[in-house]
Amino acid sequence: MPIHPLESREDYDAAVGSDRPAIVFKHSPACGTSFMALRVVSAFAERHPAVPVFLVDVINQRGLSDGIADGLGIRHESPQAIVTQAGKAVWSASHGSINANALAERIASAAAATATTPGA
Amino acid sequence: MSGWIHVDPQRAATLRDARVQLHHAVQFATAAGISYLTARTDDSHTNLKWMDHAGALASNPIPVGDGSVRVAIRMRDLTLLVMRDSKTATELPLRGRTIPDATTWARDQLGSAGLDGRAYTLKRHFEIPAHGVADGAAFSALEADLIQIAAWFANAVVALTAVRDANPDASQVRCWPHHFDIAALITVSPTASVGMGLEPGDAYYQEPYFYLNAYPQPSADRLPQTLDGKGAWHTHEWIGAVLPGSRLASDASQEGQVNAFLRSAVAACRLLVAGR
Repeated sequence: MPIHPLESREDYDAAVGSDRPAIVFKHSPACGTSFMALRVVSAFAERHPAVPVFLVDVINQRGLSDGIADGLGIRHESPQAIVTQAGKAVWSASHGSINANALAERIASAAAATATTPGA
Repeated sequence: MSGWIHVDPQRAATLRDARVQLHHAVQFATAAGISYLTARTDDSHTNLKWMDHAGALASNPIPVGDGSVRVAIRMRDLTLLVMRDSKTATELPLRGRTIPDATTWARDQLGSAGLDGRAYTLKRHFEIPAHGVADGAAFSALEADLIQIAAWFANAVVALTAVRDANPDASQVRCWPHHFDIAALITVSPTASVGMGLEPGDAYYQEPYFYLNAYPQPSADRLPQTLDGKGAWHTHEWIGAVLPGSRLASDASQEGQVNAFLRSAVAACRLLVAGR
């Protein structure tokens, strides 16, 4: 599967600590809107296999989900897509604002910023 | 009598323009939820209920005095409605009119109904497919196409409500204005659920189609071989059970076909997520 489920804080730290931009998708299995957002993120992952995409189940991993919100300083929402880089959030969107073009643009701009940073 | 309305499967793939115009039109109803209701974390303040007696998708009720106001779109003739206590109080045909025309009218009517008309806004937090109506063109959808799409929605409510009645763990059927799908959610367990609905058309299928999505997402190699009612598994970019409208029979067996598909797909999805 191109989307990797996160099940622990250790998983999460390993997932988002890299300079390489990644996507963390917070999915609510109790929300129909989240199912459609999951489709968008799944399609993005299929089209962009080089981009790491991770999933957090906000109901069954509530502690992890809350920890991500606190750690990144991003208000919790679900569904929510967060672009991370070097352990920080560089962009986030929720509900209908999650779309493939926005994800691609934010990943590209994060990668470009890294490439142009001296010493990166 | 179930209420199923015969649809023409041959025309299913020809409805795109009317469907996108309707998608823009239902934002008038969604705007009422955004403008006057407290935002909910699940975005349900934006969703729409099918009002069968009016053939309309309507906003959630907005309390006014001892009653309520809804904004709705009657789909078969693309007409904007303001409802009081779920009955049509006043209406504006949209064909031949622009979004700014209708916005002005809606603000006036909502003001007359006891709300602050100035608070009514079409600003929204999601994007929908582009169409000239968003750039000032008048609505112009063909009535014959609108009638077909209205029938697809009415039928979806009939079919999904039947599934809901057989699955006590299913939610109410509601239309979600971002994807314009009308859908319900089956909570199989605290860790598993199944989304089911009718999507009137999108980048994957340019025609109305019934779908089911399971969570946790199943692997493509675990899918059952067959689904009833000429359904199939969609595996391109997402995994789900689908029944495109063009696969429906042309005769009176349509409803039975859709019900058979939904029953078999719900059972398959339940099995796929069971114990996960």
